[in-house]
Amino acid sequence: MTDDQILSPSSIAGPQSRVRRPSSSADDAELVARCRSGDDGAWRTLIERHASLVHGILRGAFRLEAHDAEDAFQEVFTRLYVRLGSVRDGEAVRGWIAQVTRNVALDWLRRSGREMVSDTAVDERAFEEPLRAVDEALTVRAALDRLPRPQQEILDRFFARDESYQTIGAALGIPPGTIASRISRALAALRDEFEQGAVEQ
Amino acid sequence: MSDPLLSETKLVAALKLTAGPPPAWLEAAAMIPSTLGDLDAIERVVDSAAFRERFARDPLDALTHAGLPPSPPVLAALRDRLAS
Repeated sequence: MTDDQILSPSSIAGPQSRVRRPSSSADDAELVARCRSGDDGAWRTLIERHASLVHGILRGAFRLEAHDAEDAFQEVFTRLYVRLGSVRDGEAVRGWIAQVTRNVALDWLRRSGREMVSDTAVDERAFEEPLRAVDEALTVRAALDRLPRPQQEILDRFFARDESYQTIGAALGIPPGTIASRISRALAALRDEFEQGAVEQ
Repeated sequence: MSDPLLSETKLVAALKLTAGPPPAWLEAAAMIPSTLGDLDAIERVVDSAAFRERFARDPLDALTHAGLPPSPPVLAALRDRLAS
């Protein structure tokens, strides 16, 4: 599949994607328009909005090493920047980025000569399941983004950034002895939010 | 956990998987417009058959010859444009 073949706006694994982004699509169209007019702030926002998607695909689905993933990450956003003027549907930019990221990752694997299923070619089918896992993980992340800020913060610090109770306590100004129970409550809230989002689909 | 949709273990794995890149990656990406410079210059060289031939032989030499900075974003942009 080429970069120009747009997947559904929120999908990286296919049209069955459950990632809910009710308002960000319209925002993407506006951001793309502002980027075209040279708005550096809009460009930065666009990067920040889609960084987890690109990073998740490169590292989580395609298992690129960190230094390769860093270069591939820059290549994805370079392609996006170069093609800003020709993006036909700003609202579909997320799907476009996902597709470009997938293609860039495959290029990296081919260039690095890593062997997949056969000795001579990268088997793209080998990444379908990992891509679905990233898609589902992004659905969870979207649910996290809908939680109250303190719950987002404690879950992200503990699970995503591997911070200790002491570090979290110092950063958030809460007693370390209460952190385990706060994490437990936040996880329950995340599960509820995720389930509610799934039911609404 | 009794969650029929996603276990706590999977929730945690999902959070780790979507932790996002290091801040330095974001900073570098934010600099792409200034690193690439004038996009028109890239478009001009892409239209040149001599440049395309030189780029196929030796990308860095082609960039230097065309007066473009031999930076990774410029290389990526040219690869992208020449492939499309």
